[in-house]
Amino acid sequence: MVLGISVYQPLVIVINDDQSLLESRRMLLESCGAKVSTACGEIMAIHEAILHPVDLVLIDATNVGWEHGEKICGIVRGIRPDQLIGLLVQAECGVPANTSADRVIHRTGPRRMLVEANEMLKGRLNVDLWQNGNT
Amino acid sequence: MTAIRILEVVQDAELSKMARGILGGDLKGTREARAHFYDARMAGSGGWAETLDEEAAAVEADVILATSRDADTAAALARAAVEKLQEVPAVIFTTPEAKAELLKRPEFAGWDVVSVDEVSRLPFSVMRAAELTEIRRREIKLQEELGQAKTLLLKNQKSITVGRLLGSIAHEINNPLEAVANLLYLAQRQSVAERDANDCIAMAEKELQRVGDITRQMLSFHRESRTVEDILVTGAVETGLALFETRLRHSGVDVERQYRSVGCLTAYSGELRQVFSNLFANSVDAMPNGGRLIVRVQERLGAIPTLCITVADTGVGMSRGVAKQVGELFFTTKGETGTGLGMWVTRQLVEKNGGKMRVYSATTEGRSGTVFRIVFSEPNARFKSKLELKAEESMQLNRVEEKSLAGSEKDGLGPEMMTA
Repeated sequence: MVLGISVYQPLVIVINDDQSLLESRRMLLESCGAKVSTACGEIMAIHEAILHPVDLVLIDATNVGWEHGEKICGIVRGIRPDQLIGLLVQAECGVPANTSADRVIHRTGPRRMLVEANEMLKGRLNVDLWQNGNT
Repeated sequence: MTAIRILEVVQDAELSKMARGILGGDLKGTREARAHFYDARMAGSGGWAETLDEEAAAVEADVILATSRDADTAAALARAAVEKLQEVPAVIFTTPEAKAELLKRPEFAGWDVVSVDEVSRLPFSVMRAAELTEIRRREIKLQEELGQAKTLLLKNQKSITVGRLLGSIAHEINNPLEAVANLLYLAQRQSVAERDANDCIAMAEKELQRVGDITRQMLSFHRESRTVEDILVTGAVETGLALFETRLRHSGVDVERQYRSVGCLTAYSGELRQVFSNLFANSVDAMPNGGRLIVRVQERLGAIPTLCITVADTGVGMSRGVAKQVGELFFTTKGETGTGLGMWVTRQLVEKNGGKMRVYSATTEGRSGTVFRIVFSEPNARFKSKLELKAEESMQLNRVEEKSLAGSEKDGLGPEMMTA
């Protein structure tokens, strides 16, 4: 058995209002072996979440219509109570007091996001934990 | 005890002596009367009016006392002195005959004329005039303070607008920066092919350009403009819309541009941008669940050329009474989150640049919305129509027009939907 190697491709939905950021996150997660679908905007996001059961939903806390990230979390949770949700939070904005997400991921760099997403996915991403340099 | 400073414009020595005699002591025991004398007969070759200039400036008088036996001379002295000291009223001390003649003249109906046979009334007249001066000076001071406060409010409102935008701007900057970080991280990874790495770097560069664009927009909004210039109105509208791009998108607001003019308005560019920013902020707030924001710029070249800018939204609308109050200082419909400055400033800036703003609104279900219409017309406002612009400029501006005309075919929201 080899630790850190995914047993199957995890499915991740990334929800954000910024197409460029969304695309870069998709590339990042795909480079780690995830199968990624993206949703840009509120309605599309919910639609996507309903259509495809996934391993992880990544939602920005403040990016989708300001504070609406948490609102979308609640909607997704309402539809799929057991859905794994990661809420991406800007460190300066603080952690939401009552979030319905399973985990808060701070937006402090690509590596941290990958490591934390990998933890949520129980190591199914190919993230080299010992890579030097980028955090 | 405050002294009353009296500038006496003397033509008759005997009358002057009589006036000094009664005004020299305490005025009714409450105020000391201190007279500063100016003798009209002592004036140099330049004439008494010129000499009075220096005298008037030096004295800082509370009251002007003109003494003369002749009605015309008394009137001329008093008029000249009042002209020099705008806020200071004059009392004319003269003979009963001259008084009778002066009172026949309509222009002296409101003047205080005291004759020698009622000299005991002179202290009262002087005191009343001094009180009037005090009131006028207080009014002038208040007007000055009001002017300063207005300037301060205008400045503060701009900071408030910037503050409100700051959150969205921070995110606008953070997003491309995070994308850059992601892309560079990917490009650095050994497993990534050189071609893919180059693609990542190219994408990162594009994102950095975006950051630059955002900061430039923000700086141009906040930059103080000290001189008036010819501003392309549609350009100012686009700058405002760019600042609100995120908020508009988040709120699900579709923007419809109806540009039927490429005219330039002669105004302070920062002020014009602030006008549009305030209007767009209002529209976004009025449409929390999405809607349409229509921006129309059109010009009419008739006997009186006009440039009309309409900002309309399909938001919650306002009642007729509320719409009437829009633009009043500290009036807000936004509760604690509103300052009541935005629309007041907007109106002030529109009027300052020679325009007029009107508000139409309706709350009828399914047809609610608000229309802000700003009209700049000659001669109060100065603008150059398309025809007046140089051919070179026109070619450049046409591109903006062509781009936007595509959206102007549908003219779905007009004033006819508004009932207010």
